[in-house]
Amino acid sequence: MVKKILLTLVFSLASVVWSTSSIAAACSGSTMSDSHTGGKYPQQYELSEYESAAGCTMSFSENPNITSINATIQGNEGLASVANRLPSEPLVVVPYDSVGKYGGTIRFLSNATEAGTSDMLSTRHVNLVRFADDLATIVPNVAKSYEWNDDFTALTFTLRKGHKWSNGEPFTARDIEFWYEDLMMNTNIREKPYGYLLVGGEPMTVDVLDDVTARFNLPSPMPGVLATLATSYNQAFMPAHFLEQFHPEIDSNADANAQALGFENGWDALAAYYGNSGWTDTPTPMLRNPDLVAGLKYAAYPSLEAYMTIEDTTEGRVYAANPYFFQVDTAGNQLPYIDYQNERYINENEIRLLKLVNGEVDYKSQSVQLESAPQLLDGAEKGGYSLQINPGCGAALFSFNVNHPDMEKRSVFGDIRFRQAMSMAMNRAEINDVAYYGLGVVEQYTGISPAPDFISDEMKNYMTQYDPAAANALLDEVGLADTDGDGFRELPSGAPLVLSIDYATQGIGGVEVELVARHWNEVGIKTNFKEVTPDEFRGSQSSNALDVHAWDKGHPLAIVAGNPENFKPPFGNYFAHTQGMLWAAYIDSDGAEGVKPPQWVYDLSDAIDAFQSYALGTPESNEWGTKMTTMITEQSLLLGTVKAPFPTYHRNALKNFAQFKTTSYEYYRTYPYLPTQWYLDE
Amino acid sequence: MINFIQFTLTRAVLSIVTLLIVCFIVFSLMELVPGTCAERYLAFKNTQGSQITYEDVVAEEKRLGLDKPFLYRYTKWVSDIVVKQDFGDSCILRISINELLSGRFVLSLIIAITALLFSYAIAIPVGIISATTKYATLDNTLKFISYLGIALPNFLVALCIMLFMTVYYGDTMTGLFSQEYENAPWSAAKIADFLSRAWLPIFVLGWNATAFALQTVRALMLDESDKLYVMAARARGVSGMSLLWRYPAKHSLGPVINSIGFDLNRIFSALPVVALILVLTEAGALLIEALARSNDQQLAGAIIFLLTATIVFVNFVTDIILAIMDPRIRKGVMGGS
Amino acid sequence: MEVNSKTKEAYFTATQMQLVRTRFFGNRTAMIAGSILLFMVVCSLLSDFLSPYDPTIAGRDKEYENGAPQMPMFWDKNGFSPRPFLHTMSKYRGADTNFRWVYKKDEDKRRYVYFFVKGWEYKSFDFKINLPGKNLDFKIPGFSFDRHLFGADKGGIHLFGTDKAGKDLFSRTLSAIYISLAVGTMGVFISFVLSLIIGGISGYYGGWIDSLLQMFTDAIRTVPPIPLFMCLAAFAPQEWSSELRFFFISCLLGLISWPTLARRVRTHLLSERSQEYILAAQMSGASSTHIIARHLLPSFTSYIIVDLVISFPYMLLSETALSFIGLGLREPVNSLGVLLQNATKADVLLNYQWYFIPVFFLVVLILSFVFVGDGLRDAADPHKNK
Repeated sequence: MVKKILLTLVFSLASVVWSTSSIAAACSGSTMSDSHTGGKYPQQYELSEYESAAGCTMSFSENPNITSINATIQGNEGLASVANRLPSEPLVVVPYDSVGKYGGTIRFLSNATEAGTSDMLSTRHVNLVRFADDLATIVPNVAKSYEWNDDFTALTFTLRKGHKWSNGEPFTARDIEFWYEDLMMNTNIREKPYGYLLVGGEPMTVDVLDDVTARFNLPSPMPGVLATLATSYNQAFMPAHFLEQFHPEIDSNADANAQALGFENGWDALAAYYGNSGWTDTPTPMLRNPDLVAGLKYAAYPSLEAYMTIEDTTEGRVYAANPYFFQVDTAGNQLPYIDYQNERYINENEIRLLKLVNGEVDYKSQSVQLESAPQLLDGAEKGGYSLQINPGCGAALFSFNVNHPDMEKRSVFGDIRFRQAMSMAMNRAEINDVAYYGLGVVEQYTGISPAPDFISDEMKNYMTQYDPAAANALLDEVGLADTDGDGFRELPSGAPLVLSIDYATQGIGGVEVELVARHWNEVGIKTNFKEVTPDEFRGSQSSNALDVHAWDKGHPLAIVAGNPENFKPPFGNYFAHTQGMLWAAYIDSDGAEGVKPPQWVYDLSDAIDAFQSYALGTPESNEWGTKMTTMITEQSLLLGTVKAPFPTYHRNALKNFAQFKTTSYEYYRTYPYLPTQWYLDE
Repeated sequence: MINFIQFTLTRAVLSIVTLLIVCFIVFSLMELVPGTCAERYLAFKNTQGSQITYEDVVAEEKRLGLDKPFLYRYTKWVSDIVVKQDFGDSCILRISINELLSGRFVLSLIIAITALLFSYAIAIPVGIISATTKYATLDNTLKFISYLGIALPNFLVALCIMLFMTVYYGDTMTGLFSQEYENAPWSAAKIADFLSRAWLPIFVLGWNATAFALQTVRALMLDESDKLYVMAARARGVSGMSLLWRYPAKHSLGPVINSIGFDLNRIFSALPVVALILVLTEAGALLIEALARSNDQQLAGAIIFLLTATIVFVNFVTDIILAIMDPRIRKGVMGGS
Repeated sequence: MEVNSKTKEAYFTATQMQLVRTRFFGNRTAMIAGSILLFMVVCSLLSDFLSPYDPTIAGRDKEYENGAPQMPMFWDKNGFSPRPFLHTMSKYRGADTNFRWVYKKDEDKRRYVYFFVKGWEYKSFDFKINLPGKNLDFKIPGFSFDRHLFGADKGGIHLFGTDKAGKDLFSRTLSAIYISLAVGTMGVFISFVLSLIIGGISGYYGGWIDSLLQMFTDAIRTVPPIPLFMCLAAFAPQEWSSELRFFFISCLLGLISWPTLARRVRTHLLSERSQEYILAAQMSGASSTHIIARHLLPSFTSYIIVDLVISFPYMLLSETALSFIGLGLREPVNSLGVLLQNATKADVLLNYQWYFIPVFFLVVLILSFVFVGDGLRDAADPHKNK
């Protein structure tokens, strides 16, 4: 009896103590200017991590308009309370400047349904991981945590308990498996899988260990896979619970299910929803099959993103905030703050500029060129917006066709002294001044851009000095003398030497080409240039018909870690600046066709393979990084000129907008800078 | 009468053959342009961050059906149009072309026809005045203003006017409708909204077309006025407006009617560039996109088919009218010797 | 009404060409337009002599980019000078000017304008044709000059201002007029010849020949020029220079535009060929060619002239529209279309209005063609009262 009373006393005492402690302060919301700026990973916390760091208990609040927002999403029924919509372990994000206010519609401009959209897509994008805004640390996003095994052949992701899709259904590891094995690797969806999803050309496999744990098994070590997932537009999960019913290889009734809704068969239904592309800007059934939409349960497939498509026409799209989004700010407010997104399509650059100057758009950086900067700056005060001018990743490059069909030109271009001479003949300061308002940075192409610490300044400035005397001396050495006295050099055999630069403005500016042609003419190499369309350029480049390739190029460390193509012939993919087509043919055909590359090409190929087998930041990785970039720079195959900056536009009413470190698509535009915590304050 | 029916039928058959020839020419020319639609689409994606190989291009082409031989695709396209009235899917926009064009082509037609009527409404009276007036200054001034319509490039005029509106009224004036009315059903308010924005392209295109029409009318009036029958009528005492109207004007109308179809064609050629600047949601802007930017054969083919069909039809009708109106032509066409 | 008998005699004995010429000279508007046109043509032929700077990037003025037009003056606060002069400019750019160049005038430093100065070298009458194969290359060295009409010391003289890279717009405009004119001529000529032949045959013979040719003409005429142009332009070999390419393209434009005139020719012929004078000629035993050439064609010279002269500016305008879309000529070629393309930007409209000066020349050129065409038509019309 006494025991019982004692126990009850202790018990009640304990509960009093407990409940008192749980009436600790609710979290008031810290920002990046306060003391709690990140736990294990910068600018974010797990829920328990934050509560113990800040000494508070988080209570969640939601957007007051969320019910009406939810009503606009077709297929969404009633809403549970916010605590039940969030995962039990939501991601706590630290806002840049202040805890935001709910409300408003953010306005974007794109070129067309699937063109010029990556700006806007990145603002609602989510993936398993992302790069933090230092562009060096990979932090979890949808996943709660990630872990490599010792030899980088197994990558395990732990998901969040209670994470739901935008329709309230649970998100599990099966969704990741479905995405990779049933969609990405299925030949009916994509005939050949995306190269970046393979490791050494071989597919990975995904294991579902339990509802919240998924593991990627790699056929060979490749630490870069993580970086690929952090920067890719391709979201590593798809709603299996909804799409399985249309997948003929999973559900035997798939075709019947699809036909009942008006589609031709299961594959057709999948294509209508998913678009058979990793991009999320493919048309939804609202645009593609508008007559079927009323009979469908969902007008667009459920997603984990911050916003859902609710309207899709050929003039634009409208999106509504996802009521089941998994991020909250430090005060417990469910993100995103802004109610709707409104995207309009305008395909003419001049008209887009007018709209920007007029303040009719809230954020834009893609397709805004540096040469429009003065006009935008002029109107900044009246339009109520600001322009950031940030460095990018790509820069204009020139390269000589070392596999030129004309054998004499091939031997001249293949001579490293010629390439070095032409590099020194370029007056990069003048190019910077005339074409880029003096805002660019003179830098040689070193293979990785922005150049990480392991690339020395000496390499960055290799052969960038303007030295026509040295250039002339080297050209004399190569044997290009002016035999007929017309002021221009001839080939060693006496035949005339005329270089032709075919360029497209999509890849390089006309003024720069004009200036470089002038510089080369001044050292006696007759150079003509001509503008062509991008398709003509690509066609000529891939059929090995050009003398000089002029196009931009440059990839950051994150990309180079996962993709070796920029260090092996032809040093780029089909649409990029390439060089050495015949070397690539030789390697691919094992010597049956093409031309045998010199030894340094093989050495470089080995170097990049070695580099990719170590995790970024380790001493071995840095050592190999230095080796391979020095090799490619000293060979002067690709000549860099000036790294120009790019403008980023945003209206001043859009708050919590960070200073971007780069303006580029490689890190997926706004994704590292947490666009979900933007809010509008008119 | 039999002859006349024969003539009509012959013209009809010729019209259809013309239509087929034109579509074939366009389809095959687009085939020859470097860079298929699939490649251009992926090229753009590459600038957005994809890492694409040539195999991706091939896969995309297969998905879009572009890997099949040219004749197969062309005949399938033509048979789809004839049998199912289905223009297929747009390669770059990935939606059904029928959906895409149904409203837009009508809008293009409305704009073009209005511009044409506007140009005739001005050119005919001004041409007559210009040809018959004694005041050289008036003649020259009228001519100058209308010729300015040819000399000033229409896209420049459109851009200037739009810029002016932006700077002084704060409204960029793009699009044929404001956003609320875009997808709303037709109503009086929507028509008013449409007119408040469509006046700009109609004005620009109409001014352009006026000059050509004016030239024709003036030249014809001058030619006819000096013909003997006019002199005879004047001798008989007919004068003033009735002299003008009953004699030379009526006969000048012949060649004007003759050229309606081609004036319309000229306007349709000028429309896309203006539409591009003003971001008009109609078929002309789509045509430029399809041709110059994305090489979307199906879409371009469909728009050109509709355009050609319209013009061929208009020509057919004007030929019949002319044959009815002008006995000389009827005799010349059906005679032979 | 007393008419001088001598004038009357002169009128009745004059040839048709003399009549045309007299009537044309009497038309004041046409004379004004004609002299403007002639002046522009002569200037464009002498463009190298008249341009103080090389219109390519070699002639760029590093110290005066995006600079406003400069007018030489005779008189400033420091007094009068018989020799015209300009003030010295110094340039500045920074974040506070939004990266635009601004120029400060120094009113105390004068730079004088000189005439017949030595400047950049240019060649005349040199031809270089590069056909496939080395043996067919054809080269005339031509004459090399380096005198120019005017120039300034210690700096540039830019009557029309400069563009973004510092190229002198005055020089570019003159060069552009020359290229646009030279190239339009070819297109018009081809179009003219084709339409006469096809329209003539079609109209004269009538019947099934007419139907067949008409169908063909209509088909060509209905094809929208943009796709036709785009695709045919793709046939131009890649090695051709930009100018040669455009020449080829203007030939294409000519090929596309003959149907308009052909149809008119044919319609007119259909109605004329049953007239009495034709019948009389036929009965006299004249051959078909003779009838077409000597009797039918002159009867609608007015249409031909009007269409010919109007199609010339249309050729120019097609080039500008196509350049705007991106299919015609592009930098670095100097043509009115390219200069127009540079001017069609909102930024230019607001800040660098002098880029429009070439547009003004384009408009004047087109208008003069049109007025001259009208004047010729009036002058050649045999029915018109004196």
